[in-house]
Amino acid sequence: MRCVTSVALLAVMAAPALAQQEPRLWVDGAWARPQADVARPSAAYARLVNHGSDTIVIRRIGCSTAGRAEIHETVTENGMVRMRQVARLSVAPGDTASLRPGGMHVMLMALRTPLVAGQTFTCTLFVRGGGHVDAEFTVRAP
Amino acid sequence: MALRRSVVPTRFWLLAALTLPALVGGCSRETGPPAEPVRPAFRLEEYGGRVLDLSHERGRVVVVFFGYTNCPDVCPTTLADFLSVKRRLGPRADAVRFAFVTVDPGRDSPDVARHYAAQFDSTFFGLSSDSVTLAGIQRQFRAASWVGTDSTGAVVVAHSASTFVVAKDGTLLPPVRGDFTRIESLYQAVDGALRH
Repeated sequence: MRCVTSVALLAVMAAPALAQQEPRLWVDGAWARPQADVARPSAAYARLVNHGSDTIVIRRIGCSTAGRAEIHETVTENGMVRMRQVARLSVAPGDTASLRPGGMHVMLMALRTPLVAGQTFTCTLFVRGGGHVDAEFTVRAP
Repeated sequence: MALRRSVVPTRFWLLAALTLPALVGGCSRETGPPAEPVRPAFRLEEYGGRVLDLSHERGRVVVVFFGYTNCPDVCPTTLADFLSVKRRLGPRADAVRFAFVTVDPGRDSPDVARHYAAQFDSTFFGLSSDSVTLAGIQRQFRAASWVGTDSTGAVVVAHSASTFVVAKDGTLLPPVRGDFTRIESLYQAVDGALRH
């Protein structure tokens, strides 16, 4: 099962990148696109693995580098592409939510500083029930 | 899949769903090559004076993507793909023009479009025009776009997902779909166009 494999892989290989608190959501491979112009948005990506036994619902996200951050999804219908906001993202136990180019992403708006390759910043994922998870994102080219 | 997403509905998407098919004239056209050879023609001057005139590009392959600079995901992904394809082509890329044409000229002035494209590669064209000119260009490519606002007043944009390739003889090739296989598909399309 892919999710189980992912969890095992994370446990062995990606421990430094994990942000594991209660709730048991692991954030792996977190990165963001460089953006020199603070007037324009950037996008951040990661894999979110629910390592716990309860569904985790991410209801809000905040990032140190952005005045506003939202989870968005790129959708293509009838040859047209657009974005829509994902108000709540639910990850079932053992499941993985992949935020990746062309799909879901964290849209970083009102950047406080340019995003330069090599920089890191923190995003906090607020989950239903009051918990939160902090994750470090690295700015890099795709 | 147990992953669930709750999506915020907006009046915009309802309106877009109603109007976009009419704008595109049937999006299903993007699924295959045009019945008759189409030779798109446009001339746009880039900020700084460089000109892309398709009628002067015979013998070169022209790759065109319609996007906007406030697009954080698909557009930078596409331009990064352009750069990957260019690098993979090596010296043969000298016979290829890569062009980003904004569908959001209200926010993307010519200098903004130029600067945006140049972030990826200094040879890439970053082009802006006016909405009427843009509509005429998109019509030739069977592309479409829509710029509006959602219920919060935020600007929202929809645009064609495909990348367009114009062959050395000026004919429009079948569009390259914008999905996760695009980079290989785009390379194959450009590589094939260079060989003919």
